[in-house]
Amino acid sequence: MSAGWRGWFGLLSEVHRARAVDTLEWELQELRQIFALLLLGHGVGLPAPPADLTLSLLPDLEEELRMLLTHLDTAQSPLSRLFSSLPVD
Amino acid sequence: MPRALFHIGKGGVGKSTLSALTAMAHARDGRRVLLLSLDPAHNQSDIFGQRFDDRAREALPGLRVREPDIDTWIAGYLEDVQKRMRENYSYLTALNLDHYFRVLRHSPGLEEFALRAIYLDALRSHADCDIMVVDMPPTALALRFFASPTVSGVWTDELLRLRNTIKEKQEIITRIRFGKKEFDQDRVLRRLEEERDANAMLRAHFADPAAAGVTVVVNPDRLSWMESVRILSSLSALAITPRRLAVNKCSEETDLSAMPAELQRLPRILLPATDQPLLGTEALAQYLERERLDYLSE
Repeated sequence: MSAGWRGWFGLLSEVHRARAVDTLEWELQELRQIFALLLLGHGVGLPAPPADLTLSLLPDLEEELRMLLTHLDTAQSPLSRLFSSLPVD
Repeated sequence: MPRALFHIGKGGVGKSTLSALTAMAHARDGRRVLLLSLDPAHNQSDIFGQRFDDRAREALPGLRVREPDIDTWIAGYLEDVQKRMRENYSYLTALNLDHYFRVLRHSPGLEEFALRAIYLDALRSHADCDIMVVDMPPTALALRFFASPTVSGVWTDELLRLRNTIKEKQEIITRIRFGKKEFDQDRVLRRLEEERDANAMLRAHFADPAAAGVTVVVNPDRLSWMESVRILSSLSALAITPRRLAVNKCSEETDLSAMPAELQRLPRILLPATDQPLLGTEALAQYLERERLDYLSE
């Protein structure tokens, strides 16, 4: 098989693999947000775990914190966000 | 690991004095004893007439006393968390941490955390001791200390379950998208597992009479009995059975027949009232000798 065809099939495989995990990635992001909310929810009045448990995990939660803050920007339009993530026409 | 002997009861019933006497009685019998004060009131320094702090200092042959300051422990812990955040976080995210941590210092829940951290540290660093006598803080904080591994355990289990699901999904995505078979270790998951193990260890430790014994201290008065009944009920919910009831400040006229049945059922020791203030090692030793309190070291 020529290098051109190999490149084309490689690209096709990459596109299909990316599409296959799109929904899973959205689900993963939601789960990580729930995890962050459970740990840091005291800020918005949710029941919170003991303070020391949150504190001990906080240094390794930068990604989750960033995700929560980004989510605040789109919090006003949850449906449009959902439709853009799921294959709903 | 030393056997822990906790003293719990209403404020002013004589927990600190009984802790000091118990520690001295065990040391007199030739055991290596640590007297650990978790009471923020710092009474042991006053009772022994020596300045104690977080370093275990010898008060008598075989008896060392450690009286850490809870606020110092909390401040040290928060500084450590802040340092780790500055190391792990990007510059901008870590920029305004100071104010957040100044507020956190007064956050509820940190006091029992500090007690728990001090206790675990004492278990580890005084593993050569036979006995660790623990002078507990006032009832509410003492009960939160005993409950902390159970409360924290509920959260840790749920967070672990969720984090494991996250890890599984992350691995599926990485495998499909990049064809990877090896994955980075999740530091959050590892910390949660460490927390779960520490909670399980402490729960088992508190519930094992051979490893930890709780003495409930009362005076011959209704108010301290009522509070002690509530202490028993809270301990029972945590599967902790007290080893005995110590009735302090007893005299020949003391009548315990009106004491609630829950307290009557416990093995009991009586400590006679004394006109002399029990301050200083000499006064404590004389009281032990005079009143023949050999059973304190049983």
